Amino acid sequence: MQVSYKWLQEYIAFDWSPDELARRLTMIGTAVERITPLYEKFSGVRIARIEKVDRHSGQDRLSLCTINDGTGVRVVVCGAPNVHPGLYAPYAMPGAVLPGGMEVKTATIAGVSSPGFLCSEAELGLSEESDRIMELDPEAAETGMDLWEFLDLDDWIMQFELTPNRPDCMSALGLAREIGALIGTKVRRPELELHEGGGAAAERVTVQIDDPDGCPRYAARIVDNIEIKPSPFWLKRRLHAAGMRSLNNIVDIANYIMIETGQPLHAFDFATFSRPNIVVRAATAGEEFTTLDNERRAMPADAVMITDGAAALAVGGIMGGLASEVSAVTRAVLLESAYFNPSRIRRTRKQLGLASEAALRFEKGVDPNGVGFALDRAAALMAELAGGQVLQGAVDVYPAPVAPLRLEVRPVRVNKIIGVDLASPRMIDILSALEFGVTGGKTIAVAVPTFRPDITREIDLIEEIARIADYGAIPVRRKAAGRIPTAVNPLNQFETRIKEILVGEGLFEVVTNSLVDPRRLTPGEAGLAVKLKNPLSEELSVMRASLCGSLLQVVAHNLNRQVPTIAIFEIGRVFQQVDGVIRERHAAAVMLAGNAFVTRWETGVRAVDFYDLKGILVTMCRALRLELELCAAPYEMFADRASFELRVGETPLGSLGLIAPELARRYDVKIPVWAAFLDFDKLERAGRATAVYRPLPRFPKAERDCAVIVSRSVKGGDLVETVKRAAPELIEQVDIFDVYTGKPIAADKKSVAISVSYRAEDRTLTDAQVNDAHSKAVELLKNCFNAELRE
Amino acid sequence: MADVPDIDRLTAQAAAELERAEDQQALDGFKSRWLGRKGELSLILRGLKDLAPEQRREIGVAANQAREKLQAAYDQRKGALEQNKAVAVDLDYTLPGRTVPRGGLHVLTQVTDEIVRIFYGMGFEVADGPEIETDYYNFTALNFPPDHPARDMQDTFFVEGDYLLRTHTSPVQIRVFEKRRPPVRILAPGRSYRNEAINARSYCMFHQVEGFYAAADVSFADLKGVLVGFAEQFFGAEAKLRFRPSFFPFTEPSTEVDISCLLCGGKGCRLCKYEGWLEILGAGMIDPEVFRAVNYDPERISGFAFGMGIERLAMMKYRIDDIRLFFENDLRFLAQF
Repeated sequence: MQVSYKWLQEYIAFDWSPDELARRLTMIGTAVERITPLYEKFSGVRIARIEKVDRHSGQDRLSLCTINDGTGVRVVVCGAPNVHPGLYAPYAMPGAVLPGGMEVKTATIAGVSSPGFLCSEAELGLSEESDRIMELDPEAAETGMDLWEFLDLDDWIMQFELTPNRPDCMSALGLAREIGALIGTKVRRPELELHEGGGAAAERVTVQIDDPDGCPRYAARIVDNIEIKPSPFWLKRRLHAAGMRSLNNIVDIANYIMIETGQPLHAFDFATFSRPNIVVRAATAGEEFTTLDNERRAMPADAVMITDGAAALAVGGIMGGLASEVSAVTRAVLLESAYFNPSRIRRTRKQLGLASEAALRFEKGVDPNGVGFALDRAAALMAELAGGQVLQGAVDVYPAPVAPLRLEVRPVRVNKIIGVDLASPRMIDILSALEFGVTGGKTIAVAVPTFRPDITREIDLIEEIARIADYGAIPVRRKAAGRIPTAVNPLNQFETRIKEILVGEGLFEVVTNSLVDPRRLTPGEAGLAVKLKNPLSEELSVMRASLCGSLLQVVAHNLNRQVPTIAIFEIGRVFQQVDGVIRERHAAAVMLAGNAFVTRWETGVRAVDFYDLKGILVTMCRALRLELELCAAPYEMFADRASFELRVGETPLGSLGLIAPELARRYDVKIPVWAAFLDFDKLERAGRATAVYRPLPRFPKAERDCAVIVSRSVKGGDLVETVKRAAPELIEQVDIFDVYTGKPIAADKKSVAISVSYRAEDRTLTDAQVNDAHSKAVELLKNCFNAELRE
Repeated sequence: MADVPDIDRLTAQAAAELERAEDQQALDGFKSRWLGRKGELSLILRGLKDLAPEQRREIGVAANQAREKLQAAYDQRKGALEQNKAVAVDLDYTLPGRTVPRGGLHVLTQVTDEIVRIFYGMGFEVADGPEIETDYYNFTALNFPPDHPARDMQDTFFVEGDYLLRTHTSPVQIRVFEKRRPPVRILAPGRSYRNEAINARSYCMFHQVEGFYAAADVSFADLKGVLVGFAEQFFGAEAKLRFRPSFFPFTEPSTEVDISCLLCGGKGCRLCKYEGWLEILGAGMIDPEVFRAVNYDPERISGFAFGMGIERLAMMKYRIDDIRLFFENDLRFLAQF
């Protein structure tokens, strides 16, 4: 919504500057988004009177105009068709600066020297009219006057950012009313000078509402004998301020009155009616209609159609029809002013995808009792500007008039909700200034004007009082409101803890979009993915079923930017749909790619590998006092033989592996990516165990090492478990401290060096006891794995 | 019979000598004198045969132990001297140290944690709800009637089967009110979604923190108290707030809250578009319709709610000029926080 500063001054007197006005309106909730000059500045243009017009001898399109600009008489060359003696027109003399910065000079046109020129509206930046010289009102114009000052062009467009609950502010009068509330005075409504004649409108047309739900009120007037022509400059200026294009006097008047009053109007070419009727009905099944933008559209079932009883004329409240549009040859118009059901308009507007100025007002709720004033005001202007004859009376069908809503507001309640101490008379003043009908008392009785559909309850009145009384005046109360016992969501604390552990392991947390590209998902994920009905694009059209794709995208992004080490994790929700049931779960994922984190000058560069990732997860589990186990298991996102299940005891927690190269390639990742995916809810449940103190060992430990040569397929973990079995009571810890392949070990074998700590809880072990246990362990390795002791 | 050697005395003598050894030459001398084939201890061991059988074993063990001890002390001394030399000659303090890798929390997590901490200090606890919501919780119960233009304020993603992606974390209000009786004071951070084109200023997903408090006698003045307290802690004591009337269906009266520009302090600059103020959040008194939807009596219970975008706060706090940076996760960006 936009109007100009001086336009508002027509309805209410104020002397704030545009900036000050904007600030004050913003602080009562009528936010001004932007202030811009109404017109671009020009200078050196003054009013001249054309005294004489001669044809140019060579070029018959050009004329030589003798003008008087108040300082003298001169001859300028002009190409416009509308010059004639007696015309007052803008004259840009040499030295004038026009919009766009062009400086006017004496020029020679078709062999004739022209000291400046007469201007069109387009040349002055006042409208798009470029074919004709601007014509000034001969009654008011005086030769030699500065045009900028004559037209009073110092004005500003105020662009408002309105909230959807305030349809009344979608009008100049409504905005003026807000200013009135600030000042404490009421607006001046424009005076109505309507001269009717030429018979009763009711004899020329009937109005019938068959769909009173969709259209509770329909009023029409007929204006006959009109002449379609361009609007005068003052009207064009209003439309320009409102951000609308000028078309012709009739359409411009309808638009102007809509902006002034907030009531959308529509003018039909009455001659196009096949019958002298208006019949308002709901659309019929499968009905099609051509709107005035020349689009044939299928009408939604609950569209309100304006018809003449035979053919449809308009989609009520949204857009007129092509066939009944006002054109250059229109002589009689039927002017419509109606009230439509906001919900119906909104649904139809959405289904048609048509957002007209009219629809935007109707769907928020115009004033059902403002219909008549707007109709009369527009008809009067049509008589004035188009020479029309307004037939007697409006044909107004309004079967169930809307009465102002009556509410009560308790001053005590106002002060309680806002936390202030306002006196009741102050509340009454505020409401009166907003044009509410008010009767004081212990509770204030309020009649809500029908242009305020947003006010339906006491609380709405409390807001009105609060906003005009100024939010800034409400105290800042910092009371210690008594602590409410709080229990922070445990998952949240756990999440923080896990994040801190992973950060300590060198990982960066990432936050990725939950919306992903279905074309990149694995088949398993695609089957689970929740689809959006109205996505922004195909790339963002499903909810992620796992964190895999999101993190691969982050890996790709960083690889493309030469980030050498990519070590990331995310904890977030994933969404899975199984048999129509949507489940949201918390998931965690870790991904490693690129170079391992090492001290490069010392050890050189190496790529991340399985053991880096396993180490991170083991550390995390250790912090939770959990012992992580892995076992081979196939997962679709991982490469064969590098795909493992993660578990703690009997509980599967997730998976770990090397991202399958073909999946990585879908994200343009061509290097190995190691990833782990965890069910975060399960991890949280598993991680609840609290520590239990165990006495510290009182007796010394003894260490023994051995190195065995075994087949390369033997798993180190199995060796460790086997050693432990040799003397469960005495063995405290078993570590693998070296794994070696290569000469002199046979090609299909490896050497594994194991260190074993022996300790008893209740005594110091003797050498003999330790040696005995150790040789048992070695023996067991020989038997179970065909191990050979390496000396 | 030879004399019984006094091994303890010899060991002490050797240890003292080793203490005095300051260079390789002195160490070499020590080694040949005590540990070499012709060293004192070797001589003792070789002389065992001359001892009485009962002494042989005792002296032998003692001499061997002494030898091991001296060898260890020698190794340690040698190592120390070598390192001293290496330090003097080769140490390059400009080479990178061996560091433990350190990652980082996402800047949005850091900002969320800070917000949660500040409100926790004011008695707010944390709650959350589903991201895939029903129309009822996201709109209807929050007093957005069906077909109401207010729904256009939040462009919504719809999901198969009559669900939608929550457009704010305000549905948590309803979910908590349904389960609890006042007083309740909750903070609900979480992901929200809007069907908006992606550019430097907007993204289809963002993180919102909704806060709300319902109890007897809560007023707009209390709302101001909590938000001013928050701003002072989050942005600094010099931060000023401005409360402007606005409209949200689930609050009445409603307010938009601006903060004095962080760059110019309110004088007017490019960041605040010369207005001196930056919009940071929306708030208001919880609408009686919301209380009715959860069977609270609005005559007895009043409350306030506020909602703010974490990305927006992070962008202001760290002067980040493109919201997409949060979700691209360029590690060079993440490492800055």
